[in-house]
Amino acid sequence: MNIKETIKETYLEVLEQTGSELLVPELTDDVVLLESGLDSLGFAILVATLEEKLEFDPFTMMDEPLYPTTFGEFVSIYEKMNPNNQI
Amino acid sequence: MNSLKKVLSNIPLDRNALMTDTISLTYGDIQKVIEKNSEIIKQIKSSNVVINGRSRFEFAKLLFLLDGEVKSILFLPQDIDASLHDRYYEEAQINFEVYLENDIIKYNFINKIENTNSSNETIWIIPTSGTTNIPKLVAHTFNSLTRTAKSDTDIGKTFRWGLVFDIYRFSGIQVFLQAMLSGSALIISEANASMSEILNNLTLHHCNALSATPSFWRKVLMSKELNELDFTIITLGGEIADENILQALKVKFSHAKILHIYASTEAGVGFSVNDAHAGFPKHYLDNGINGVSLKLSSTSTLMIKNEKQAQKYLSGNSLYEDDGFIDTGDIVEIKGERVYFLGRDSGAINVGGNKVQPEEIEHVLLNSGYVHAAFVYPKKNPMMGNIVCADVVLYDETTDAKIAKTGILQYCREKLENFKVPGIIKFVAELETTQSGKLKRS
Repeated sequence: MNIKETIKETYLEVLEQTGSELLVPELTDDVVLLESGLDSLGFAILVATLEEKLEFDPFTMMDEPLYPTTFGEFVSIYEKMNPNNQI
Repeated sequence: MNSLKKVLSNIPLDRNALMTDTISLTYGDIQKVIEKNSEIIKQIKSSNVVINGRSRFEFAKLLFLLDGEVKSILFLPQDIDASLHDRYYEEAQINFEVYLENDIIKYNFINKIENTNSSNETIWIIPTSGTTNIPKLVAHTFNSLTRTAKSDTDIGKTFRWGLVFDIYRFSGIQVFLQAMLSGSALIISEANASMSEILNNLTLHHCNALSATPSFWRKVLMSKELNELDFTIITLGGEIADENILQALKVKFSHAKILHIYASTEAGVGFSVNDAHAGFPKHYLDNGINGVSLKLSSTSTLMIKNEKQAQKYLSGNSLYEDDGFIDTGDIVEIKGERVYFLGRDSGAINVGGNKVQPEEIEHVLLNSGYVHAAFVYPKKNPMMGNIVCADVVLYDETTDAKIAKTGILQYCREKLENFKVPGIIKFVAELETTQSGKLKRS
């Protein structure tokens, strides 16, 4: 499974875990994170759960910290910071 | 002695003062409200009054009317448990509950108690945020609260402060006073406003100065309204400001002055740090900073002493140690020339500004029917500061992990507020204990 699929799958798990509902028809790249169904606490749990699965937290690794607005930006931060990436 | 009313005399009356999404009042408008109430205020003069859960906008106007007139004002935010009201009324010897109707003061009789308070300065009684304890009442005055506030009204005219903290709390009242003292505009969002509504309100009124928790700022940086916003002054308070959020703000708002503030209801106005890095310079500990002395307790908590001790517990219990210092309960660590905050000595976990006591969560986990032993601890998180994690030992190790997790979380959600529900649950075979058999807390 690639990172994007892992993130989508984990997103849905956290949605269920927190008793939240998806507020958009589909998790596309332009979906605004905080309007997607998970609140900021939900995203905190998502980042922590992803850290368990992927064994890295990109937000603590960035030289210039950045907070994502859309789902696409969120995924690209994980893709970009993935230590397993072959350069 | 200064008061809010006296402040008004220094500010051009045509300046905007209080702005909501639908109403804007100038300082002159506030002056008129005061004049309209000049007779009726005499009826409650020198009494102890409570403002109980009124809107933030109404609260702000009431403060102008009451400060310097009544003996004390008890702030009761909407989220204070109603069952505590009588107890607080008694402790603060409240005579009247006050509110506004068409900008005229109305009051309900509460109790006729002889006033023992002989001061002629109005006492502002602010509840602490409380953890699992019942919030305590702390008495402040206009002067103690404005000790470090800037009062240059020429500079102030350029600022439009956003109020996103609760004005009934220490953090919110600081923002209110800073804005009013320097003749700035204050853009008020109400407690029930959504993030989008708050940000749209700030944009509408061209907010350029905002004080908020690190968690709020993270949400700002994740919002779709982000590019509509611009700030000259950014302050962070209420939680530990980590390097990530400070640097992210610096990147996004490169020309803004970024301050993180150390203050609390009990410790009062503390100090601020303006280099956009986490923690504070060690020389603050050695030399003090702006009338505040700092030192470490034997358990590495930060002790703070204001030159002028002003605030005190209303109950009469002492806030202070014998040497005048207050133990803040915040554990710090010195690394080189910098002092960093590690967390609370009570073990409380700060989740986006909300305090969580691990023992409470452990208790709920143990009652869930699945869990034989539980250990709850914080995990640092870039989105919320910390989240709640739990290591649990199941009664029956053969229970399907997914079923157990779903069952435990469902039970937690029924019993606990959202921010208290563990975000991560790990199933372990046993918990680490210390030699005395206690759970090992790092």
